[in-house]
Amino acid sequence: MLNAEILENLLFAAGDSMGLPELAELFHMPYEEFESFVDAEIARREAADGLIIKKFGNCIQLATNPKHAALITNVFGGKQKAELSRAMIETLSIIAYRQPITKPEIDDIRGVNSGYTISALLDRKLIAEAGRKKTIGMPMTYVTTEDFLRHMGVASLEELPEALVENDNI
Amino acid sequence: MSLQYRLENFEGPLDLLLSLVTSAKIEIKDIFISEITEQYLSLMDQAESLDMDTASEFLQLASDLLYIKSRSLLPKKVPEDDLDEEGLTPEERLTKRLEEYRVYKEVSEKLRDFEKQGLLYRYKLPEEILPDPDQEPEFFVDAQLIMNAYQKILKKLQNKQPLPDFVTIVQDHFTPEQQIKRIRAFLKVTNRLRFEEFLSDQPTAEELVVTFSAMLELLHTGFIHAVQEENFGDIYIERRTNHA
Repeated sequence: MLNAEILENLLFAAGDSMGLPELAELFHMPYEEFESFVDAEIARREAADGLIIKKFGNCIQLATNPKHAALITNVFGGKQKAELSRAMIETLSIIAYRQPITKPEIDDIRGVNSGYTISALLDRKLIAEAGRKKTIGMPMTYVTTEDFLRHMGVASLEELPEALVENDNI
Repeated sequence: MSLQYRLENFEGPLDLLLSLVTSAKIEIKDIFISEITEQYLSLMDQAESLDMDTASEFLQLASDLLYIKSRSLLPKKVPEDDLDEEGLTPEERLTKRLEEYRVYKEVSEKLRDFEKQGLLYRYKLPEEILPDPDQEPEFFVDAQLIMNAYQKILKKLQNKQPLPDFVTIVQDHFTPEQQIKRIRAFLKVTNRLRFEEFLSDQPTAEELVVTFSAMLELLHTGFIHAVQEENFGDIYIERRTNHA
C-alpha cells in the first residue's frame, strides 16, 4: 500500500506539512513502523539530488534540497524569508529555551521592553500564546511553534545547541 | 575609548554593559571593582538623543549601578535590608542578570547559524482548494428570528435612562491630610497596626482609597514601614524608628 512515490504525491499535494500520526493511519500502519519508513526515506533523499523531506516535530514536508540552494537563489532570486533582527532572535532564543515563559520574564532577562518584538514574532507565527500563568496579573505565556523549527531547519528543539545557565535548568 | 560607543548600536543596557565588560576583558563578577560603572555612566549623555522608552531603559540601569556604587561607599555595618525575593543583594542581582543575558546572547548567535541553514530549504504553500459551487454553504435565516432580535434591541434602547441635566458633587468626607494625622496619632500610641484598623466598620470606597493614599504618602516620606506577608493578606504598618 505504502511506497515512497505515493507518499511523495501526498506531500506535494499538501504543500504544507502533514502529520505523521494521520499519515500512519491513512496507510493502516502502526506509528513506529511508519516513522521508521519515513526516517529511512529522509536519509535516502538526503544522499540524492532530488527533493528532500523535512521533519518538524511529528510532521513532515517536502522541501528543496539544500545542495541546490545557491542555484535556486540564482534562478528565482532572493531569500524566501528575511533574516530576523537581533532583538527578535534574542527574544526567540529566550522563549525557545525557557518556554513557556511570560513577557515580564523575557523583559527581565533582556533588560528592555520586548512588547513590540513579541508581537512581531507572533505575527510571523514563530511563537504562539500558550495560556496564562496562574500568578498575579495572569500574564500570557509563549512557546515556539512548528514554523520556528522550520525557520531554524531543525526537526525538534533537542537539535538546538545547549545553553547552560548556572544554578538554572534549561 | 568611550567615544566609540553609540547607544543606538546596542540592544539595551545589558547589551552595552556586557560589551564594556568584554572589552575590558574582565569577569562579570569583577564588574563592581572595575571602572565599568564610570564608563557606562559617561555614556548616558547620549541617552538624550534616544526615544523616551529606550532612554529610560538605559537610565534605569544607570541608576541601579549608581545605587550599587553608593552602597560600596557605606560602612559595612549598614544592615542588609536590600535583599530581593530570591535573597540576593543588588550586586548579586545585577551580576546574575548580566550572566543570564550573556548566555542568551551567545545562544542567539548560535541560532543565527541555524537560521542560515534553515534558509537553504524552500517550501511550497498549500494550494487553495475552492469549494464546489454546488456545495455552497446555505445561509439559513428565519425572518421571525431577525424580528425577535430587532425588538430586543428596541426594548434595550427604551430602557436606557436619559442622563440627568445636572449632577450633584458630594463633598469629600475624608481627606488624605486628615487620615495622615489619624495614622500618625495612632502610631504614637502603638508601634504596629493593621491597615484595616484605621478604617471604620463599613468603609466606603472613598474612605478606603483616601486612607490607602495616606498610607502611601507616609511610606513615601519614610515615616512608616509596611509589611504584607502574602498576596491579599493583612497589611501591617509600623512606625520607623529613625523618625520621632
